[in-house]
Amino acid sequence: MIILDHKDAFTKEVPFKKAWERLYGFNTPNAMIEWIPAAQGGKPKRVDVDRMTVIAEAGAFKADVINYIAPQRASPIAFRMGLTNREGWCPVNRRTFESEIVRDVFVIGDAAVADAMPKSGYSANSQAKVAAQAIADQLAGRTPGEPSMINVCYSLAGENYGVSIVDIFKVVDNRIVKLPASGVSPITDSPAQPLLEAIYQRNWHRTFANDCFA
Amino acid sequence: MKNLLITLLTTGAAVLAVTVAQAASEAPAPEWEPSRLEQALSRVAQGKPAEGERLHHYLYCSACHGDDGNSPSRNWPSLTGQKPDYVMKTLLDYKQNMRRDHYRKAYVMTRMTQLLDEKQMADLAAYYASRPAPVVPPQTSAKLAKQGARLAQQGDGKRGITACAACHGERGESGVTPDTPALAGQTPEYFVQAMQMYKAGMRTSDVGGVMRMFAKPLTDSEIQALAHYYASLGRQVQAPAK
Repeated sequence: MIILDHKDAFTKEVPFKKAWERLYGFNTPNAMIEWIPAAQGGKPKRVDVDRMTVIAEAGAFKADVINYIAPQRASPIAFRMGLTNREGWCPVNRRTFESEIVRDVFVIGDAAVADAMPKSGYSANSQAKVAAQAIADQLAGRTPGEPSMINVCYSLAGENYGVSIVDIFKVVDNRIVKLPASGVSPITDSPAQPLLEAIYQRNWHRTFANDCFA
Repeated sequence: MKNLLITLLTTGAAVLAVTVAQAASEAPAPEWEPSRLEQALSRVAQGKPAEGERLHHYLYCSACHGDDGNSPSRNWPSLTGQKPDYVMKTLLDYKQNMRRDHYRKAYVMTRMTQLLDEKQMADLAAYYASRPAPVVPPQTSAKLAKQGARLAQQGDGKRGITACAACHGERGESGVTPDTPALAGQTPEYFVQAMQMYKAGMRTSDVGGVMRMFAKPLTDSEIQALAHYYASLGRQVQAPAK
């Protein structure tokens, strides 16, 4: 697997790379996974679908399967409703997630401009709760309170190998900022640590899905 | 957020999803027979408490069972002061996928014990045994404890219920056989869960089905009362345990 990245860093990079080293020979001649950051020519220029080839700055890469993640922006409905800014995202009041462009419309999740919050399902869930509370407050004639938001993201780097990140956010000067309590999986030599994270990932996923949909 | 991946995919949130085989699909070991258990526990006496203490932290046992083996949570049992045979047996139960009771909770230990060899199990067992009995959990109800005392000490002859103390000791300090744990100071919620699993026949780690048999005639309120009685027999401390 070759990752061509137009960036030079990524979320949970340290524990991910350690997991790749331990599980997939990362940075060895037998590596099953390779990451080519922008600085090494990872930036893709185009995809030749007929030849199943990606042309990046570092050269041409032919593959059996290509998963191309296109530049992202808010979904078409946000554009049609006139909620987007010039960058293609939806600016919102950071305390309520009400659109700064159209009153009484609330935007959460990837589409919203949420500063330090990552575009994750957990962020969207946390923002939904803030928005719902703000809507209830507005309907009742109350001033919405000061929100606190969370992001939790677990990943499985292997069947028994989990890595995670936790962030806690609040609004400072009308921007969402990350608090120092945030953190990413530490690197330890204990085999129990990634295993427990993998177990927690499944429990987290189960309870999170319940929280969203049950 | 423009990553490009070849041959496998991940997302901006960097999720490498791998389909997971659940341990529940693995076949459980057959139930214990006394001779097989005795043989399995033959190394328990070689356990080294200092090494067990290191493992308690190194393998994150302390994360659920408490920094010193006194469970800070209603979910998990205290291990401190437990007799080594029982700890070793329990670890073997899990490793052999025998503890399928209360699946999601047992799953953690079923996976974790795959990391342990028998020497390490004996070391952990020796460490917990070397520590004093658990302190009385703060949620222990004196009223319920009082209700449970009689049944625990005398049983109920009319209903053919044997006194728990006959096997688990006068003060819940444990009995002679490897599968009779110390109960004094145990987390009452955990005690109830264990008894309900025995009662329902879902926990099969008891040798000869003995606890399944004893638990069967007990009512829910009797199990509650016994849980608080045994919790109340824990160590009394003035200040919070360090």
